Amino acid sequence: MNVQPPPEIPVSLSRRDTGDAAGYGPSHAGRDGRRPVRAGSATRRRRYWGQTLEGYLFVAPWIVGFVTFTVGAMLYAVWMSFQRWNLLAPPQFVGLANYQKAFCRDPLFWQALANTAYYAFVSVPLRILAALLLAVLLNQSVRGLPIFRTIFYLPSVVTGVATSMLWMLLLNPDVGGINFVLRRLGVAHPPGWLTDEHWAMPALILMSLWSVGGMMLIFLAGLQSVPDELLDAAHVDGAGAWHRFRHITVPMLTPAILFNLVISVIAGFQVFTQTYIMTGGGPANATLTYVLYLYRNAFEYFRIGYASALAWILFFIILGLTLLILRSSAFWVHYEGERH
Amino acid sequence: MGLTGQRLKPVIRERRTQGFSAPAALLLVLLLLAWAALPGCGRLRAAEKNTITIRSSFWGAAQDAKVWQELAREFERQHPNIRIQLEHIAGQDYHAKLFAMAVGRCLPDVMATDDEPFRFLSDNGVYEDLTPYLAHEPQLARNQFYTAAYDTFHVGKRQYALPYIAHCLLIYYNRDHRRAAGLPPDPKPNWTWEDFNHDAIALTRDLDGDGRIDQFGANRLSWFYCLQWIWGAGGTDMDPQMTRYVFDTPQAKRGFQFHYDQMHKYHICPMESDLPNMTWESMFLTGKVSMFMTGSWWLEQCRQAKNIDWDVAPMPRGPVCQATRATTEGLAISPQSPHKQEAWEWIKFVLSDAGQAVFARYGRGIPSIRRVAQQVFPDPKTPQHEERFLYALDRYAHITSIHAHWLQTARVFDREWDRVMMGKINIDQFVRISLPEVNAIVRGEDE
Repeated sequence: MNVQPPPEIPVSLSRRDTGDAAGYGPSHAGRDGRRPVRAGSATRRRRYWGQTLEGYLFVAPWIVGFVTFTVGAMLYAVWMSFQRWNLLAPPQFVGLANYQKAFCRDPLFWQALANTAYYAFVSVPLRILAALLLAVLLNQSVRGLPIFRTIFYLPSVVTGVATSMLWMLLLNPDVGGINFVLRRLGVAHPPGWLTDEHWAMPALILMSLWSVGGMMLIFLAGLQSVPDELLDAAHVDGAGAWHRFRHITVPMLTPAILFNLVISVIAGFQVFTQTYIMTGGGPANATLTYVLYLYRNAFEYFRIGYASALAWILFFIILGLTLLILRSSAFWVHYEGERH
Repeated sequence: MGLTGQRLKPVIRERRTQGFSAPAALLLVLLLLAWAALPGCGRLRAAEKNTITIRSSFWGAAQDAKVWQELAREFERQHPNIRIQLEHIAGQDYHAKLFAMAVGRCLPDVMATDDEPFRFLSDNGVYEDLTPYLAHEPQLARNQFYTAAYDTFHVGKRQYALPYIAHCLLIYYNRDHRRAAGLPPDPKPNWTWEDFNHDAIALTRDLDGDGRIDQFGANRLSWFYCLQWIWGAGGTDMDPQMTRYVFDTPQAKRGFQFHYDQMHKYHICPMESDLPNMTWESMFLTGKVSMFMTGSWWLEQCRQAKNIDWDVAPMPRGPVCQATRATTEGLAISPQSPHKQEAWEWIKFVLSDAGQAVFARYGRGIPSIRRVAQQVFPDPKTPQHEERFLYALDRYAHITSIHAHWLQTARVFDREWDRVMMGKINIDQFVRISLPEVNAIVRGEDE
């Protein structure tokens, strides 16, 4: 029940109760159409700025941290990328030499980039497909659905290190579970996985499917927001299950697909933990990923300037890909039945 | 009643908001920031009255912590005005952490270090030159130490660290396996490469007749562990000025080839596909590998194994000489330390007879002072020949040439050695591909 404040209650107070920020301003009329009392405008202005200041002060610890440790560090990395510097000896300005080295004189840069692109461009579609498939399965009405959902989501909350250790066991060529199953299926010589330069990256891609639970949850939420009326109408019009999925469910899910795609591409280009722990970039650099190479330059070879240049190159690669995906979304993402 | 409630709520909310003013919020923020910032400074600078605190860092496992704690307790008992604050940096990134501390100018006063990153850190001023300190300490003269250990930390005419323990590689072998294979339980003391291969071939066996090898003669080695074969063949890793790798000499290639043949010609070492998910140590202890080349650091752990009859054999003699590789752990002082003299006292205590004996008692390695090692390292209660480590360290141990870009060149060799182990390239190709790249790194041309 909407109870209007009686006339004796100050206008500004009633506006504050409704959370109407316009009430604090000196030149705005209130909801009841009255102009604010001019005599109180200076007080209100002081109060407005006082409260604004209070708000900023409360978020100040985060802002200080963000500016110092994120924005500040990023800007500092720009400066470092123009230096030859190991942090201990004095820095030496080299201009664009670090960038030039990466693009023109460092075969490992291209190898690391190619390995990372291979990982990202193969694993991302597979992960999205796997997550979508799981979400569709877990959107059915079956007994014990919450248990299944929990089981499929659980790997997503396990740390990367623990997951890596587990998969090292599973991928062991001799006693690992995967080769055990392959042998049972009649594969006489199953792959060496992490020890074979041709199979190491596919093994890591296979492992990436382990943690699609987060994506699956987003798809699940998307599936549950598909209006039943649309599906029912299509059903009445004679559309089969596949056609309903293809022409109604998938278009309605495209915003979720876009979100998962962007996040996965970013994560794919930043892959590190698995290669650091499971393969160390080997065998024969077959799994040397970009961030692992960057890490080595920074913390093993102490080439901070070059590592900073590599970091900024990666930033622009990811930014470019993200913008490309977002621009392309105009052609395939639908919001509430309308093209974006 | 309902109307009254509606009237009261805004008033109460207004008062609460006004009650928490901007100055109070500012004060709260400042307190929070101070709370976050101050403990770090306090921890580094806290010193009890009349007591000097020396920060001393080390790596390793819980057992290592016990060693250092015992040393610190005894030192503090003898030096009541000096407190040792041990900083245990566990994990693989000890030197990366040390590097970060150097950049942040908060290095420990005394730092444990080893050979691999030593040269980079010493070249960049992370270690104090100990030469002036040594001038007045005859008990710490070079001839008191195992030379290989002492020289690891010697650059030019300066000594940047002093070794507290040393290690070298020998062959651990399973005596039961040898008996079962029809071999004498112990190899000949003066055995050669040919003897080693002969025994390893006999020890490589398919025990259950399923066509797969269950017991391998020897473990597989990284390129780095092949250095003793190279020295044994008369080769070496770098030229004396450390300006380039010289793996392209016939002697060096012969050393590498010896192990290549073990892998791909005689098949006495397991390939990756033959490896269960076990460390080499576990494979030796569970009988999957009969001869295991590793260091004296593993002696104590091997002593705990009660189910196998084992011993250590000298390195087999190569076509030119017998050789093994020495590694060392040393202590250095930070040039940033405000208490260098007290830090030096701590190092002297660690290198004293009492301090060195603690390392031997815990089985952490060979005391670096030769005289002490001979007294306390061999355990008279064990049937094994631990004294062979001392002989090897004294007579035929070499040290790796470590330059400032060592880790980077090692990565190149690792990459190509992976291909060697997979049988995709031979030793000639390994040398031809890797040498130009690593020598460019050594010369600093890849900067």
